[in-house]
Amino acid sequence: MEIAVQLVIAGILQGGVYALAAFGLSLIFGVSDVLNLAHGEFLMLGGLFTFLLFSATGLNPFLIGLMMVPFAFCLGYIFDRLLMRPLAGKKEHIRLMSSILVTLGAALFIEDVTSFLAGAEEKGVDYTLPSFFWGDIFISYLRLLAVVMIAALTVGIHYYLKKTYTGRALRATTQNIRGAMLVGVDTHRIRSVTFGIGSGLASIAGVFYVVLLSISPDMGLGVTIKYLCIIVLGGLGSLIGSLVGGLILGLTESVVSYYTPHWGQTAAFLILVLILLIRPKGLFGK
Amino acid sequence: MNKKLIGFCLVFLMAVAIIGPDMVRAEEPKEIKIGATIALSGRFKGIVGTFDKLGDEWAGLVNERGGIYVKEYGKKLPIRFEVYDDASKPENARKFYEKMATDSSIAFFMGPFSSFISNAAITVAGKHQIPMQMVCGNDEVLFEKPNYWRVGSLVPAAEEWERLVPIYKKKGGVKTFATLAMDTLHNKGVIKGFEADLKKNGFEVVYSAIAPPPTKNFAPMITKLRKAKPDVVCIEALSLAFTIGFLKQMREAGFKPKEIIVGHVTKHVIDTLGPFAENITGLAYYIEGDTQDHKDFLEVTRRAGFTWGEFMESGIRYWAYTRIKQTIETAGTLDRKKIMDTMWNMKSKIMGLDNYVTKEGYGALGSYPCQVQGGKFVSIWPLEKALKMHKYRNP
Repeated sequence: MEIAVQLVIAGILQGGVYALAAFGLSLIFGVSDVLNLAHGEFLMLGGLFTFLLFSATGLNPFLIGLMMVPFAFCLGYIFDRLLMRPLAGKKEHIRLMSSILVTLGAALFIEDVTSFLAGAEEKGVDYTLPSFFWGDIFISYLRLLAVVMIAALTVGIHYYLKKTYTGRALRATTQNIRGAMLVGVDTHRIRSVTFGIGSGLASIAGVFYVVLLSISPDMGLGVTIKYLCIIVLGGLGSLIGSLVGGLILGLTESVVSYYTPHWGQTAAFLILVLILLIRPKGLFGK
Repeated sequence: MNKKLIGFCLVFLMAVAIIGPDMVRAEEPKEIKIGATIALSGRFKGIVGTFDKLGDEWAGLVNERGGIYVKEYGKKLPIRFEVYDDASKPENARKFYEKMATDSSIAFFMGPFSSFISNAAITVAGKHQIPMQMVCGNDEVLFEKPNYWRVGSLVPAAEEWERLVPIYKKKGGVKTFATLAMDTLHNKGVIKGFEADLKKNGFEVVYSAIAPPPTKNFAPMITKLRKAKPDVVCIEALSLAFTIGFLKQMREAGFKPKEIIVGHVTKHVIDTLGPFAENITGLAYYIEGDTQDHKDFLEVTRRAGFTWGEFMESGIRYWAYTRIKQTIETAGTLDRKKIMDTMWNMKSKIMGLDNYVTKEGYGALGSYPCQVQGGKFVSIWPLEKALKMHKYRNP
């Protein structure tokens, strides 16, 4: 029984970390219809700058992460302004294909430049929090922090979308871009803001990544694909979907890896295929 | 007229094709060029570090002394490396070795990093009959099929951890072991050999698992490990992300075995784990000594900007470089067949250790126990030294 509880806890906590990173990707797709393949690179950059600042100052990595959010926002905003906006006027299928190619190119560019400037080796931050123990069961406060953060972000972004002008404009852009333009919404700016928020979320996920694991310049595309699976599982563009998708992936990995570590990830992706067979638009897709 | 001209051209072209390569080869070379690929990016980068620079610095040291004497030409020739980044992928390595095989000025191939990539590279060496000194490749799959054109530097993977067992046997205090290997040829080979060695010596293996390289979530494995309560936890992985992820999650879980053995400890592992890395036991392909080779090796690593303890695989590369130098000096020629014959038959000393190749093609360099002490990876071998210096993490 204790083992079952431990596996469920471990799965939920791991799923929380996955969801945190997938959240920004889902938000960007929901608003801009762009599959941002450079999302993992923003996560890596968040981890890298945390590592560099932590090494230089010794400050708490999460404090560094919070300080980095505005910079990550600006980076995402500029990224959209320079690379995505020229594609905005194209037909839908051309825009989708072009955005995949452009973000893939950007991902490879960021990977190479980072590798050249900061070195290609693994980097990690030596920081931990004591875990909570109850008999043989343990809960990692670091991972719990990630779950709390994703829950807070879900609620926060929900209210942001409902209550603020930018949030409402953002929803309007998602639902009907022409309608939004007719009522005076600057849809270009809204898309850039969304990219900024997505990048900010990725950089926060990067902080968790560098604290819990380690980062390297070439990790980006690998994690992007994983998070892409999560948002496809949850339903493209659905925030709650990315949370549930992350939890399903985390739980499946956790339970299967206990019995056979080799099949943990495979089983998680089999679940993805099964769900897509039953619900082709994902769990919360419309 | 036309037929005669075409006939003459064909005969001429055939003659060039047949004797051309020999004419080129007979020309006195200006340098000895060694072709290699290294994982300067990708998942092995953390272990490989800047070994391209290490090679250049070694060549620089040899060239400062005039180069390598080749009897056939009656003089010393400078040595130079031509290195490509295979990005830790065998298909890239194969492509680059194929490219270098078309360059007749390449005297030697040096193998890439890992058995996984070496397996692709040795086929190119065999196909084009170019001598290859493998560096970091010692899994049995590399030596199963006969291939005259490659020899190794290392003992079989299954024997790599054999020097650890006598320490635990003599010292006592531990009985049960748990192992986790990353799913690569090398890692599985090492752990398989170590487990057999442990059982032969009366130890018990209470947990044994293999996980794929991209594994990030180790919590389920650690849950099972905690239940098995091993005295010693062993992790063998060529990816530092794998090793670091596992050890960090072990720390999160508050799991404190008496001893942790990590197969590939580098500067990045120590830096990332901080004080948690203290007293992690590992192995390096180096043992301290006072030979000229030791002085040269330490000088070359100093020039390359790191210490042997920061990149524990650097010893293998020095071993391979020195084998190449000794081979050319012994063979007295750059003729590929004679070079290869010499590589198989040569017996000498490198760093005070016996250097030879077994009939299967394995080398003679083994690994020697080390431990992280005071934030540095220090050598604790021979056995008497290990019994004095080695410390359990949680006695």
